[in-house]
Amino acid sequence: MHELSLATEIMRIAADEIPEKWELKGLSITVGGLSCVSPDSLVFCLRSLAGDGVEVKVRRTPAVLQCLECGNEFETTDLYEPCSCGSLKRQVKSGREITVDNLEMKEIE
Amino acid sequence: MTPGIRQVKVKSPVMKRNDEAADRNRALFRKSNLLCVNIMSSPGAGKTTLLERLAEKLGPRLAVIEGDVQTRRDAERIEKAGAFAYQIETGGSCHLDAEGISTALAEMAPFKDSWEFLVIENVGNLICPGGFYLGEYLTAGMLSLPEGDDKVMKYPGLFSKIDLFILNKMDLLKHLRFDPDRAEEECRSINPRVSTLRVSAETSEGMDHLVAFLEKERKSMIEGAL
Repeated sequence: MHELSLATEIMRIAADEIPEKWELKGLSITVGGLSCVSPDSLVFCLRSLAGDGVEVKVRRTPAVLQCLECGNEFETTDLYEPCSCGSLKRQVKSGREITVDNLEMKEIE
Repeated sequence: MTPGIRQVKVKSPVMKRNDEAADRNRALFRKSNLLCVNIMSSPGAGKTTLLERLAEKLGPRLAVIEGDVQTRRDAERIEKAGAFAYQIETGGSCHLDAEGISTALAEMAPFKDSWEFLVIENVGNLICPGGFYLGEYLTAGMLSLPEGDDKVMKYPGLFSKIDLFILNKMDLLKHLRFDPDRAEEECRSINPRVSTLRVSAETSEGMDHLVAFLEKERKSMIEGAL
């Protein structure tokens, strides 16, 4: 359950962005397919910390592998999927990222 | 007056603060010529037993940071085996983070001149520890034979990023249906540069290879820094 640690850090990042007399209304986050983050758990933790009034969107992107035999780069959710050339020698190009993409904030009346 | 709504593009990596602390840890290790290894596995795979064997071989050259949810038991085992140990009790957290390591390092200061290797034994877990860079020079992932030879692809986040893949409890091979070649081949398929070692911490089989591997890595770390 390291999603709670991540959610706490996300709330800290959001707090740094929000000026006085404004409040958080929405968060959009990207988690890579190899980041070991469960989007549902992250949404649950963020809702608990931010409150129900905040809309939380978590997008999971597939991992990108590169074949070491032919150089082909391909997206996959199944990491044991061979390259189209048949090779199983692949290296991870991306998929570990966890980023806060956008914030939506509202002026407090 | 209607309240304003504002959209802000942030594009901020969530791990940034952790990674900055990790970079500071790494700089400290480099300055001290300390080879730092972050070892991760499931609970019961034999991390502490492996480190006891290592402590017997390396003695005052080894320092260990133990991460557990609770108790000083592991640190006591390492001390008894002849090396320095610092225990982090996470109190419930399933992983160590770089700031926790920074705090431990501050409490361990001043570093002993005899220390050449620092092993951080992470909390037993194949998922969460893989997401937190601690500043280590090498990341090791260990799998023990009773866990099954199909585990690499079940936990790709961890096994795709390690530098060293250790198979432990090799002494049990004759009792189990475990194909070491399969486990290593699956690890290599998503992590082509990984080094592999087969050991039994219980019988000390393969431990000399582990020591030789660490010595070689420390040498190249120091030479690389020049």
